[in-house]
Parts: sequence; C-alpha cells; structure tokens
Amino acid sequence: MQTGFQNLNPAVSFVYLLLAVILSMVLLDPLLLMLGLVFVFGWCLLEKCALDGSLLWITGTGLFVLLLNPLLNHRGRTVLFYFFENPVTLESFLYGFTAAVSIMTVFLIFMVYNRIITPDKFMFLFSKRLPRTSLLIMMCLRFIPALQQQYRELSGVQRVKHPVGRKRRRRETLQEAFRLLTLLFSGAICGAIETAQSMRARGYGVYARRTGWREQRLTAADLLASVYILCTFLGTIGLWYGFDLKQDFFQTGWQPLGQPAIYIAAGFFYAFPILTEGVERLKWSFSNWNS
Amino acid sequence: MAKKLILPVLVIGVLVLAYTLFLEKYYLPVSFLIILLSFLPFLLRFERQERGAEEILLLAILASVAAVGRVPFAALPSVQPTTFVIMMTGIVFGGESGFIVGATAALVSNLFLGQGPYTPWQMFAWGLLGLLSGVLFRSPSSRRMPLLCLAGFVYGFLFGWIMDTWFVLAGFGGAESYLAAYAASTLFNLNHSICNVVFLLLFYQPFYRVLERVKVKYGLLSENRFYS
Repeated sequence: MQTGFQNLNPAVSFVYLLLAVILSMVLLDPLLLMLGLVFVFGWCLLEKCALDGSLLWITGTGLFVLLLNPLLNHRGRTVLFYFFENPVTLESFLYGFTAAVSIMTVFLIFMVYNRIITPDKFMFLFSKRLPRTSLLIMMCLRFIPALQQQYRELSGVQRVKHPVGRKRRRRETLQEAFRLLTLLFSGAICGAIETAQSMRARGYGVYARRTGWREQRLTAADLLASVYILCTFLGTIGLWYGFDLKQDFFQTGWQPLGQPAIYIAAGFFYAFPILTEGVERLKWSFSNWNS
Repeated sequence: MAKKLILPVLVIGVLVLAYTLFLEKYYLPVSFLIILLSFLPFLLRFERQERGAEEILLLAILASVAAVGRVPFAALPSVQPTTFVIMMTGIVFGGESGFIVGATAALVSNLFLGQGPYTPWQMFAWGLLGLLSGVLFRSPSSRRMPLLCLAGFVYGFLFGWIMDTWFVLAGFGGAESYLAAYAASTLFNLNHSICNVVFLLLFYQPFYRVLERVKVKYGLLSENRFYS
C-alpha cells in the first residue's frame, strides 16, 4: 500500500530527492545540516528503510570523516592539543563535523531513494526522453536474474555428471569452475543474438517510436507539492546565497547564521515528506473516528 | 528550431552554474555536475546512432555479465570480474561500447546493491576504463598478454583513485588528504589489480574468441560495416 510521499508523481518525488541532495551538499553549516539529518532520518524510519545494516556503516563513515579531518587538516587558530607534534584544531573538528553530517545525510537520502524510486518509476521517468538507453537498462534488469538462474542450472548439471563419493582434487574443481564460466558467457552471448533476432521478427525497429504506458496523472496534490517544494527550496537557497551565509571555519570559527529565517525555510523543506505522511495518518484516524 | 536549441542552452547553463559554484568553493556539487555532463556525448550518440536489435542486446548482455559478476563478490572488497568484462568489451568492440557497458554495469548493479552518491562516480570510472581499453588496444597487434596484464594492473589503481577522489571531495579538503587517501587505499587497489590480472590470464583467450566470433559472424559493432 502506497501512502503519502510514495503516492506522488515520480517526477515530483525524484526532483524532491535531487534537491534534497543538493541542499545537503551546499548548506555547509553544522546546525542547518543537523536539522536536515534529523528530518531525513525520521523520514527513513517512516518509510521503513532497511536500516539495520546500513546504519552501522553510515555512522562509521561519518565518524571516520569526523575523526580523520583534524589529523589531516592543521589550519585554524584554536589549538586543542598536539598529536605527534601536529596541532589539532577546534576549527578542523568543526569542519569535519559539518562534512560528516553532510555525507551521512546524503547517504540516508539515497536509502530513501532506493525505497521510493522503484525500477518501474525510474523507467517511467526516463523512457520517453531516452528510449534506447532505458531499453538497455530494462533488459539488463531482466538479464541479471536470468543469468543467475542459468548459472545455478549449469552448475547443477555439472554436479550431477560426476559420480558421488569420489573426492575431487582441487585442480579438477578449478578447471570445472573455469569451464562453467566460459560456458555461461558463450551461452549468454548466443542467447542474446537469438533474442535479438526474435525481437526483429516481431517488428522491433520497424517503427521509429516506441511507446510505454503507466497509469499516472498529474493530480492537484502533485501540483501543490511541487509549489511547496519549489518555494521552500528557493527560499532556503536564496537566503543562503543572498546573505552570503557561507563561513570559512578556518578563518572565523562558527557562529549561528545571521538569518534565523533560513533555519525555518530549510526545516519546512526537509519536513515535507514527514508532513505529507502525517496528513495522511491524520485523515485515516479522523475517518475512523467519524464512523 | 527551438527544439534544437534546448540542449546547447541547457549545457551552457549547467557549465555556468558549475563555474559559479566552483568560484564559491562548492567542489562536491561541481564534480557531480561535470561527471553527469561527461556522460552526455556517449548518451546522445547511443540514442541517435543506427543500431540494430542485435547490437543493443549484445551491449545489454555484456553489461549484465559485468554486473552479475559484482553481486556475489559484494562482500569481498575490490574483488570482481566486472573490470575484466568491461575491458574485454572495450578491446573487441571499441571504446564507445566499452564506455556504455561500463557505465550501464555500474548503474544496473547498483539497482540491486543499492544506489548511493557514489553511483555516478562508479559509472564514470568503469566507463572510462572501457573507453581506455578501446583506445589503447585498438590495433590487434597490441593485444599481447604482458601489455594487457599491465593495463589491468594499472586499471585497478586508476579505478580506486577515482573513487577516492569523490570521498575526499565529500569529506575532506586540501592536497594532503588526497595523498593520504590514495596511500590508504593501496591494499584495496592492489586486490583489484591482482584480480584483474588473474582474470586476464585465465579468461582472456576464451572470452576473446567468443566475442570476436560474434562480431565477425554477425557484423556487430565493428567500425567497418561491410556486412551489416
């Protein structure tokens, strides 16, 4: 069952994800990025992304960036302590923290991307403009499971061919694996040619244009969502550039940004998926309450 | 008329945007813009060239073989036959096909393994290796085993360094961090290099024979199209 953000037009959700990645790379301010990270993390939880394994390595990457930065970067005024005669500065910690939060946010956004932009939505987005490329990708998506299946079948046949009970030498096993891979490869190539000839026989390439169809209308909700997304994004980016809010940590250290409005604008931008989901849940609970 | 202008205007717009971002020292977004732009010529040529169904299918199956090789080895860092398959494509079918197969393999395997901000970089790195193989081993007389192995060895490091670059751009800054990252990844890159050389030594002959046979028999993806 798709709800909230997943129900939006793929184009709208794709653009939102793209803009979120851009904002997370451009707004280099620790407090702003933390705000983004919290909201994106909440979104991940709402969408039930498979976070258990990934959370570990995402945090690991963040820690790695945070801890390694002070060791590599020695610029900055406030020296905290010396590490093997190299100064470790507060500013480089700040920079490392900002970069770490930025990277973690981008990774989390991609986790949600994997959940929301399913391969069929991906095809819907690109098959009209780039028909041949999307055909190529589509066929690869089919071939990969097919090849894995073929590999299992081939190795099964090879196993059956050998008498049970005799322990094979390592050299034989290796030779077998070698032959198996070559077989799989040449079989795949021949299969591809055959498929192509069958496609041609059914008229592929006779008509210049290929069309595809997926039930997808631009609804009022989509329009509303795009207006909201654009307004908050442009507001944030406009404030950031308009007031030149980027700070060089190594020169000046960190201060809270001069325009508190940017925190509000960015907050509304990042909160968008949670808001849509929340509205749906509210509707659901009210509909139960009425009846 | 207006339709023809869309693309150049778009490209120039992206370049101007990248330049302003570069002046403001937002290096990470700039790098993504430039990487995506670098796909454009290959993408356009692929879309516009006359290609039969056989050629698209062949590219698709090569990309799938490359991608499939990556999935079972995902737990072992840097060990995969993907680079080898992309290299073979570049050698037999030319650099352009090599780029397409490399980029597609990266994109498609990540549809299974999970996309990340590294996807465009992987697409670029593997595409570049395919392109490079096509250019370096254009003439059949240059396809000798020692040279091939040398190329495979260098590719491991090239790929690793390209992937390091994005990570340093994202998380660090400054020249020393690049050197440190390149040095720190040596072990992984060595793994990748050795794996490439082993695959070349074992599988170059049989794979080359299969691909060359298909190419000659069906007249696919070759520069001189007498018989297509």
